[in-house]
Amino acid sequence: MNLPCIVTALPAESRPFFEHFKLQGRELNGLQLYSCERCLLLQTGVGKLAAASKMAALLQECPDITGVVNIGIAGADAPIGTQLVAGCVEDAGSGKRWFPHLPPLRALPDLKSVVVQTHDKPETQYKNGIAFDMEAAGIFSAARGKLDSSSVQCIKVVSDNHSSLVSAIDKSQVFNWMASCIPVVDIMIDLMADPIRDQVRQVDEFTESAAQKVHFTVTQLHQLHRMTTQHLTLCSSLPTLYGSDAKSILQRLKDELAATPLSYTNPMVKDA
Amino acid sequence: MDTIYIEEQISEHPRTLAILKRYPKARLVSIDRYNEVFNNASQNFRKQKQNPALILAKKEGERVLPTPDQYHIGGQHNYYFSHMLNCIYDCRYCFLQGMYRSANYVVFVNYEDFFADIETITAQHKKPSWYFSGYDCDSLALEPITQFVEQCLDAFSEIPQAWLELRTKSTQIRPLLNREAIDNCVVAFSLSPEEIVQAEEHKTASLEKRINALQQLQAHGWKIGLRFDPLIQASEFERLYGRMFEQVLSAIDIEAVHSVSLGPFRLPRDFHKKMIKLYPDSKLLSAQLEYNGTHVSYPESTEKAMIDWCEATLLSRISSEQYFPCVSS
Ligand code: SF4
Repeated sequence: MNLPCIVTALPAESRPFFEHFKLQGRELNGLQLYSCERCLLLQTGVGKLAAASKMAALLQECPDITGVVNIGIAGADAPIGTQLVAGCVEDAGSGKRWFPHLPPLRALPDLKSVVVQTHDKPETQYKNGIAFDMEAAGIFSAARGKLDSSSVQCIKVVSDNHSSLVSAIDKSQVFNWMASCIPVVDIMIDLMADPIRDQVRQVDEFTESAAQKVHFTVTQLHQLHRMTTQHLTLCSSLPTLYGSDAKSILQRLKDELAATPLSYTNPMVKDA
Repeated sequence: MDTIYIEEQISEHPRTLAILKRYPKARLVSIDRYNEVFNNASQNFRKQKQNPALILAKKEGERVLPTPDQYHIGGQHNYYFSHMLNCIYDCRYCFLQGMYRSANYVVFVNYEDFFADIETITAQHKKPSWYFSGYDCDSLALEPITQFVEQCLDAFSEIPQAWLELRTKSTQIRPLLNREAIDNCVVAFSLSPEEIVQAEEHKTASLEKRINALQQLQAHGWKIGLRFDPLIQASEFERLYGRMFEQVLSAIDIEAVHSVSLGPFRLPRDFHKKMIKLYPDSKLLSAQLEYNGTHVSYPESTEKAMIDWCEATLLSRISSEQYFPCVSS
């Protein structure tokens, strides 16, 4: 499942995405998961521990997930409905911090970056530059062990502040706030596409299929993988394997690569 | 710059404030120490390279370090320093891709500490000592933002026993043209055939523009250095490099060139492993390379043939005193 995953805590936070992405629900070893061709959606339930355990379970089941976008509501010293992106996610309990590598400003020009601080209980001591939530640190603690800093992101919409209390939040507001984030989530999902994924997959499949026909040791399989990648890059095609055993196949492939010229001729550059 | 991380301890430093003023729209993130972002384990250099962030920090600990033995241009005491880590350019052979986890740029704003260290080290030697900037970055590329070189030249003009090498592929030479040349500085340009510039040295100035910058610097009295490093293997190697040597050497005053050096393409083994994972689609990194102890290089015979040919071609035009065969990065 080579897809990015949207992660929310509450059904009300997930709903607009069901419609937009035409997500289909399915059960995966006890996880309630939703999927379409472009992405997955995981609903974790409320709180850091629930978020961490569901996120970890999903990454265990689907280790190929390419990215995670946590989206949800948060309290902050900012107008209700403001969209924020986490420049830092902090676990208020342990002090542990994660720094997502933020997407280009031109892709998300209107999102202010803040520290998203995850608390065990709703927090109302609103401070400038900080948004309070209850899940982000759990998601980051589970996801950042598997995915790089560009591939785990967090977006929050301000749901409560000094003048509008947590108790005043209602479901229809949450739906609208999340719906307003769809363009941002769309962009984030596109940015998480791995530029070399297709090449890696092609090479993986090729070596797996070769290993079914001929016996390769683990080291030989690594060599075959590397040389197949080189062949694909230098010749723009997968190699044809000649030989009946691993050793002779690898030697012929090595010879072929050594004989492949690397040309830099460029018709746009004129001879002086 | 889209995102700027700022160490708390230098958040009020005048250079921090001056740099931030240039980026009023940037997202600012406060950090304790630069390594919590820069050295974090789970980062992807290739993805970050699409929009690197800037990290403003204070360089603590050792700031000026001895160079590897073969890294010199005739001096006896050789050091390097990096006021900046990483580079705005994106050369596919660059060892920084293998050395660092992050593609973000770190700028150390405590320039005076570097200059003080250089002064102290220089005073420890009777003979002149050399200081190589541009080891972990390009010396000039980010100059409009850092203004490091401008201040560095002020400092070196006060320490005549200290020699500075600026190493660049950029044409940000205005700070050099806006002042008188100083005697103890060499401005060295890394040069490659234009085809290789276009294919492998992404975002750098073209060969023609680099030659033009060399001409202007020479006319202004600066000592210049030519660094044909790294030599990249190509099926039409002699045609490409022969033409480039001609383009460069016919455009400048050869006798006034301070130093010319060649460098083979070599990478530490671990860096190479990381780089081929990041860029499996790179032709340069997919070419035939061999493990050679702790390093990866072209097969010995290929490397020797390239160096011998370049050496012979260059030595027919320059003097052997100007030539330093192996300044490898
Ligand atoms: S200019 Fe130098 S430091 Fe910059 S990417 Fe190229 S090789 Fe690396």
